[in-house]
Amino acid sequence: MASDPFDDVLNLEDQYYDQGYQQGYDDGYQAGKIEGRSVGLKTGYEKFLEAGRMQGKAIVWANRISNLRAAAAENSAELKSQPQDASAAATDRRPLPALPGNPRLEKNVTSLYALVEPGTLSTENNDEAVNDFDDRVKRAQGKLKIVERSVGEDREKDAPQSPRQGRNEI
Amino acid sequence: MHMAPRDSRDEDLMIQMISTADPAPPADDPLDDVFGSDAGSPAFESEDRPEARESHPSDVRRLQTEHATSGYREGIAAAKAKSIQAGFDEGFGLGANVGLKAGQVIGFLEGITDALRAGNDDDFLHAQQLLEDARKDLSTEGIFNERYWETDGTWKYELQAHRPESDILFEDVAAAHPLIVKWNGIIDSQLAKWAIHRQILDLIPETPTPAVLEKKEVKVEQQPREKLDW
Repeated sequence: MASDPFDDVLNLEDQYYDQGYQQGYDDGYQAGKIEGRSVGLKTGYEKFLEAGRMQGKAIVWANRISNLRAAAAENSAELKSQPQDASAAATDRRPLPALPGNPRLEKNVTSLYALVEPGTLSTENNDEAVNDFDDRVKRAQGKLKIVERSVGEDREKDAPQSPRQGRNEI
Repeated sequence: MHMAPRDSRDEDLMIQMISTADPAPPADDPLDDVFGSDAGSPAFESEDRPEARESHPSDVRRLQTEHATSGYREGIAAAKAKSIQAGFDEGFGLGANVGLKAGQVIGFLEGITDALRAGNDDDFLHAQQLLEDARKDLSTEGIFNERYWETDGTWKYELQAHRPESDILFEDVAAAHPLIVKWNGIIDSQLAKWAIHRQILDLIPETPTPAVLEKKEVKVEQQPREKLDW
């Protein structure tokens, strides 16, 4: 105890407040982190789900375009050995119905993929990464619509258009 | 999903702790000299009547509760404001990695379903069913079900990657999610069935448009693979 008892008496309110504040700070820091983490998990999930979806769709389309299959086969022994038409397949591999090839479609599918290519999207939440991501997803959504329309797969699905912003704030 | 708001509970607990704390001064409290009476003085005898003494410490207790509680509240608010964004950033990276994988599953199944739509046969119906199931499983609620996550946002499931704990990557955690494992298995057999080559677009020598090229600066090599740190 301090030597002058009156110091303590006069500062009692401050002292109690500080004690409470310190404990609140300790508890709150952890609680805030957990709360933020939970919201961040969901936000990151929902944003990147869309990018992954477009990757998957682009890959399926590319596999249905014979020119792209042929171009890829030149660089892959595995693909080359694969039968290109259903009749030659001894296994139960049945290629999906082919899409009519045309250079525009091929280009749209490859650029769609390039926009959301795995490994090139940063999952960090900083201004630069988020702006790059949002910009690319937006442009990929545009490409996706063009391809869907040209192959007759468009369903009136309005993709979520979030306003352009920096790092995701909570 | 799994988060219960904590504030009110914490505060209740705090108030309880404060009010049960015993602020009785130690025996050699120097304030006895001020507020109490010396032995032998007339007032000192009042100690024999406990009810007269008890009104005094309860006032201190009230003072303590009041100020500690308001301090606690402000402490919570100040700390949360500091840590919530940091927590968000952590969660964001992991959620993004899971999302990419889940999104691919859905994209593949959408692509297959759309391709088979015109045929309208059993294959189409099967693909459509798979897509519907995947959308349900891989919804935000499905993925973040409390079966897979602790309330503090850490995963409950076992990781497959054999790395020292300090080297675990978001990607490892994402890949080990039971629903991702389940659907990746289904996707593998679907891709084999329909002769879909996963890497087809990686194998094509690129002739990207300038616009695409300029946006492709963030390459895998340059991108630090986020390490897990929480």
